[in-house]
Amino acid sequence: MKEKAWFNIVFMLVCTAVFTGILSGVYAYSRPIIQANTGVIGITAQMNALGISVPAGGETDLESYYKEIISEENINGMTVYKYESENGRLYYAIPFEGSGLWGKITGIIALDQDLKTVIGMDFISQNETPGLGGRIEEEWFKEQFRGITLFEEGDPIRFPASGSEGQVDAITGATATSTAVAGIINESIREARSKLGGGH
Amino acid sequence: MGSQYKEIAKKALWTDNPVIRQILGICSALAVTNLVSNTLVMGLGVAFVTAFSSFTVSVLRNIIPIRVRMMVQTLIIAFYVILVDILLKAFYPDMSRALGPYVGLIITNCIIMGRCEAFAQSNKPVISFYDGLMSGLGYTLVLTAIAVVRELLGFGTIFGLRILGDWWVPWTIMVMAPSAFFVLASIIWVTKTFALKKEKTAGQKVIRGVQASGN
Repeated sequence: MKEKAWFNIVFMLVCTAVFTGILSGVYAYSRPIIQANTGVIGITAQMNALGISVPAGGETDLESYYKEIISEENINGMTVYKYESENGRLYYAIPFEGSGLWGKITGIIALDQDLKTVIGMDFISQNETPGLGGRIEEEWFKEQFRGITLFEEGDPIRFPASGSEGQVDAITGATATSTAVAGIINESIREARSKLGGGH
Repeated sequence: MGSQYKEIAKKALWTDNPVIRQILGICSALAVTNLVSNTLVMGLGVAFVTAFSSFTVSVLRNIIPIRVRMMVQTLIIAFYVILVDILLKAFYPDMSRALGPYVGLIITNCIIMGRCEAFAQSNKPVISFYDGLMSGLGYTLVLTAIAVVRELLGFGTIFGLRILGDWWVPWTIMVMAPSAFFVLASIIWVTKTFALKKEKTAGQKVIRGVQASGN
């Protein structure tokens, strides 16, 4: 009996080593592919937010094109992506991140150099309820943000409520997600104002 | 041999269906069934994991020490689920994005461990694989039925294609998890009352037969 208990432990250890070993191998093999996928999603989100049409062609084309036109910069401890638009104005693409209803929501919001106008926005990842909060990924919701003017006082972005003004519509039936998204974006706009505001 | 395979398929898909008869896998039946396409991918994921887990457990069944067998089963299931997750992320990033955390939740699906413990532990590898696959498909079948009802009433669409016209007012409740309870309960009710009636009376006869012989 004593021998058997000893064998159980060894068996378990060997089993775990074999299975996790195989998994590590598969993961090591597919990690570059996964990273490339994630990279493409991030780049595409930035370009969508900045209103740049994503060029057709392979991933390498996309990446070199991206590096040509967009530069990463750290301003006062905040990572922003700068892009000089055709009309000569500087656009900032600012990553945002925060808690949604179920999990983390990440994305990009692009602002004009005056930090008063939104150029556009896009999401990178979200785990909201499919069909309800998950609808923040739909075009109509994201396109609402294009070109809106931010409020100077209070929350920069608001949903119109009775008796108050707002620029974008929330999603019916997904109040928690809508509020969370507005909160996360407003937070990053405030940070951008305090860190980028004085610099130019 | 052929009839054994037929029997397994019939049981897993219908008369002993994991969801409507064994009431297993209910958690994911509630979580993923509001869109048909997500449900199908989830179902196929479960079928894949169940089939390969059963196969592996069956291959190892004679050398796994009896006391640690459930730990080994969990390890094997987790192995396949993580494999599916990695492969989806690498080769189907869009699908992986749409399913989000659900893929990882396949680990918690009771059907998989149920089949490992109830079938694969005492049967040969190939038939265990088949049994796991059929149970996974039985699960997919019921979930898809729920998803069709929910997506149709909740969005007016199936597979994202508009079926009901603009006059249709979507039922928000159908998009939320509670509606899966109503739909699943209705399906169980209908199948038990009508479709499985024959099987039930046949079962009662057998029980009577046993009692008679006991006396």
